[in-house]
Amino acid sequence: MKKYASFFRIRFTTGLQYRIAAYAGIATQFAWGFMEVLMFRAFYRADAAAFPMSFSQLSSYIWLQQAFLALFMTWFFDNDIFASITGGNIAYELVRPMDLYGMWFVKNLASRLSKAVLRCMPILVVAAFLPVPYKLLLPVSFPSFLVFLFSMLLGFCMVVAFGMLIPLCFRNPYDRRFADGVSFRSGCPSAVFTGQYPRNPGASAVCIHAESAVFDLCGIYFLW
Amino acid sequence: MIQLTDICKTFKVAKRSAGMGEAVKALFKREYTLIPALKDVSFTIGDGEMVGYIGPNGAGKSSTIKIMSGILTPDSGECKINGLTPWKDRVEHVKNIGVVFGQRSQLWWDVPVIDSFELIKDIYKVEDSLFKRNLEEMVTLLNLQEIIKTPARQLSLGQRMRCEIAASLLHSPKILFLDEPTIGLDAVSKIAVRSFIRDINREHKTTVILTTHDMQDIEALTDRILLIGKGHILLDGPLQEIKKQHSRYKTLTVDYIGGPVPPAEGMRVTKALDGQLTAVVDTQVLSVSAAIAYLSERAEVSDISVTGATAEEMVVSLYEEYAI
Repeated sequence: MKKYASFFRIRFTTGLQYRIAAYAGIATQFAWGFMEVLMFRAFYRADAAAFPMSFSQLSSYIWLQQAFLALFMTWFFDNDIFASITGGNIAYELVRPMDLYGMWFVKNLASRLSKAVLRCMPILVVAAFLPVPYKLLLPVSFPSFLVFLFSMLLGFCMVVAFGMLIPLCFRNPYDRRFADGVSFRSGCPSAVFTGQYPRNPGASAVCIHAESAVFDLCGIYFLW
Repeated sequence: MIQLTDICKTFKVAKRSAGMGEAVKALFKREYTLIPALKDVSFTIGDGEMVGYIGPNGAGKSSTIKIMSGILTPDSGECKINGLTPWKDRVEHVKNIGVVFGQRSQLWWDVPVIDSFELIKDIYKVEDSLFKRNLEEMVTLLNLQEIIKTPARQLSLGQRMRCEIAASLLHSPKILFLDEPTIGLDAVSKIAVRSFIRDINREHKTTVILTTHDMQDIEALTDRILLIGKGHILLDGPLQEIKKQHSRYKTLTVDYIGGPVPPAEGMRVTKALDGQLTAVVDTQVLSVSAAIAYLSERAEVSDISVTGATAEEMVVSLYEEYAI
């Protein structure tokens, strides 16, 4: 277990070095978050009764989503691993007395977590100080907060495990483009099903996403 | 103990001719050729041996190393290394080996070298005391004091290679595979790396298998060479013996005073200047001493030098002999 912990540590500290990328990420997530909140505001004005939760609950959901995006983005896969497959450095990974799946899983966990740690704090803090319907609300109780953390952990592991399917799509080491295709195409339907795209944002948005999902499924079909 | 028996490996390579039409055709039907990289490769290497594995580019050297280190699975054949089959018992097997691929890096790019070493320590579960001892030894022998705290990306190639070699020896492996360890290094670094490998082999009885194109590496390090060409093992024997067989011809350069000297039988003049003669002597016809005696009888010799075949020439003549 210690080796996995060290592996995690070194990947995590490497990830923490990319400060500029983190600033850019924070800016993007803010812009995106505000856009979504404002878009939903328009939908709520049209018919608030059509939604299963209140607008301020939804705002909290969006801010959490933006803060922890790095943990749950299904279309992201650690580039180091792709590079090691195409560049041949995988030879060094195979001469280590470790299970390759475990090694890559931990690598992925660490690189996502390092991204999230850098990005989440400013977003959470700012979102907590926004005016009332738009702000991030505190959890209703401490137990529910614990359950939230636990479900977040499970979701995180689930997303990484899903991502681990992508290197399986390499039919040979030079197949980067094929695997990229699968990873990008699979990103869209999985984003819909994991709720990263709005689940009930009015008919038009659903249509657009459904359309792109169908398009993506066709893409996967033809790529195979 | 390393034992390979009838190892075969074939690679499948997609092929098409040039041109747009062919490219479109290849979209629907792709043609493959099978490239046999290794054909019935067999050899045995004892503990503590130092073996040079040579052959031209694409001969199958790296494939053999990769099979022996458990990275590639051969199509057929058997390989037993200290009782284990590398590709079947990979995790168990790789605990006992160290590998350096000269063209790749095992160090983490952005962190100081020592962090990579610490990670390797945890991966191989090296005891603290052993790690400390090994690290000290590497640091002194390879002169790493200055560079161990620098991130790998800021090291020169020579510095990085010294760190790579240290990294592959931190867990005291019984077998060390070196795939072109001196590629791209300057003379000083090459000599440092060579003397280090020699020391490791002598002191720890580490088995070393070395592939290289640098014949000085082979000459400086190995007693035994394995020659591979087109996937076959062509030659296996002590370096000196092979060298002797392939050093039938010696080159004689003579400075002399006097008129032109006619060559003796078994002597072929390659360059004749006024007062200087360069000739190749076929030692099976005429011994070197007889050639010198012959020349000094006929002219007043002021300087003379004899050069035998270098390892480089020997390898070229081997490649020619086996048409690889």
